[in-house]
Amino acid sequence: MTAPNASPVQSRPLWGAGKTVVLLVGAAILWSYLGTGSNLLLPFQADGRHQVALFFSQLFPPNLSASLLTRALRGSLETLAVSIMGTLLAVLIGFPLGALSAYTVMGNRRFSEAEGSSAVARLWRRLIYDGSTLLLNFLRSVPELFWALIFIVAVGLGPFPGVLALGFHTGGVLGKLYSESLEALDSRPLEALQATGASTLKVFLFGMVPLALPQLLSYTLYRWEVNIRTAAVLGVVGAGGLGQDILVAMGLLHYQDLATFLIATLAIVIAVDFLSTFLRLRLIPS
Amino acid sequence: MAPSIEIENLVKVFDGRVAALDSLSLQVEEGEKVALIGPSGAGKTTLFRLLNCILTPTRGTLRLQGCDVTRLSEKSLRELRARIGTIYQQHNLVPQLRVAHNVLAGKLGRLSTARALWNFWDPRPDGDVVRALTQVGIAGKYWERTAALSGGQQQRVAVARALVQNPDILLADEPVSSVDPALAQEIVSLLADLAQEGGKTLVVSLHSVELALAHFPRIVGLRGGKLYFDLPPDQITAELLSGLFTRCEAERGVPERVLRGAVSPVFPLDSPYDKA
Ligand SMILES: Nc1ncnc2c1ncn2[C@@H]1O[C@H](COP(=O)(O)OP(=O)(O)O)[C@@H](O)[C@H]1O
Ligand SMILES: [Mg+2]
Repeated sequence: MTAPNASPVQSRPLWGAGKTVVLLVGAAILWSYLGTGSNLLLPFQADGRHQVALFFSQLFPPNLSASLLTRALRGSLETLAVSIMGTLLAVLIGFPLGALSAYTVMGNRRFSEAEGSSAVARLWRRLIYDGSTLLLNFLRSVPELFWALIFIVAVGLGPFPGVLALGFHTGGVLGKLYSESLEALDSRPLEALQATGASTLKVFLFGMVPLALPQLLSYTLYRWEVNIRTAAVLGVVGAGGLGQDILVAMGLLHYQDLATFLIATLAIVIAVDFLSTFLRLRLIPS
Repeated sequence: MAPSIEIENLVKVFDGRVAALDSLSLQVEEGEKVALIGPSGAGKTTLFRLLNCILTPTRGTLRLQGCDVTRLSEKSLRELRARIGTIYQQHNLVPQLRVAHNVLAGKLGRLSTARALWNFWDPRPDGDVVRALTQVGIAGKYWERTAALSGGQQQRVAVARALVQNPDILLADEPVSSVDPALAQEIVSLLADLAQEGGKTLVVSLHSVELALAHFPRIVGLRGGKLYFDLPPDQITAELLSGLFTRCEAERGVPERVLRGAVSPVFPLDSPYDKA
């Protein structure tokens, strides 16, 4: 028998984990808002509204003189070239390192147990596997912008440090993605190749690469789309292309030139997105 | 002359608890043709994966052409594998490659990497591949992308790859269970004839007992990882067969459903990296 006034529903504790989390998140948001001097009320303040409107009115009309259009075109092509070369360098760095950091390539028990390899060979494989994983992590954790600043000091201003910056960071990203693809393959065709007496290198070339290729291509094209945006940004720190034109136009307060360069950036980003999607649909059978 | 296959008290345990093969002993002479039958989960696939040197025995001895497989270096292991051909049930081709390239893969054990790359690159048809594809009746599919083929055609490609490999010991794990009965009959006869002509040792596991009895002079019954019988076809009785195939889960110790759930089709070795 229960007491007559006992409810079948228990009351909750006054203070629980859920409430603590809500409070902490709230505090973090408030702290960040104040710390960054954010002002979400700007559009509602007459003064702020006026400033924003003034800036945008100065962008119009965009400067469409022949000489500026030529410069915008040259800048766009340079940014495009940086994104292509940067992505290519990233593939050259990411593919070998990604393969070496895939346990299906370098592990001591790949798709079968029987390996017969000596202790020294196993140790070497382990070292190469760990070393390339570490190197990829490092390449990836340094942002492109930092790589660009480092390479600008090392090789001077211009598009080349931009290429190196994209190649190093994206190489780290692609290497990681490649290695995960190579680890997630169906093991059955690979086991069949190994059973013919093929070495790991041959299983890699004639089994893993064709099996993984659609996914590797898809990742690469996607990173190219990311890189065309980044290539434009890298120009702002001096690595050539449209970004550099934008920086100069802003410094000289030539806002109508700036408008033209911004439109050019938009156009080239959209063009690369289209091309990449088109290639992905054509190259990669679903 | 050493026997092709010598197995003594072979034990294979998976994950430290599933005994897929339990103290199996078996000897197969050079040029013999053996059919392996047994219920699913009997250990047939595991036996084939040990025979083609993909798995290592947990205990017991396995000698192939007189070599103890547990004592081989990486290089001799590959040389031994090149002399053993395997045809699987399905899903053992690289679907993105062309038919010609999947068949050429049968030569990978013998060619240098550079030579193999050249053969894959070369647009001229390879004589051995053409011959093998003609033998299995799909020479017209030479440059076709493998993924575009039907299941039965893909199985012929797998047979052609084994023909190009030209091994001393030919293993086939349920090679015809995913094809129609007429083709099944055809492929099994083809394998038996090939073994006969080339004096090759042939071990085939078959789902269909009739096919086994019709084409093989020696029938091995496997059940629960143990040898159930090893007899010529005329001594196989209905009682033996019903004993081989009746369900008796308690016998295995662990329910079969649980065991099958433990096997993942992708990377059966669950460790992300060998920690040993
Ligand atoms: N890689 C594996 N890991 C764990 N258990 C396995 C593995 N391969 C097979 N087994 C188990 O071993 C037993 C024998 O399987 P298998 O050799 O595939 O039999 P069959 O081919 O005769 O159907 C089954 O119980 C199966 O679940
Ligand atoms: Mg099986």
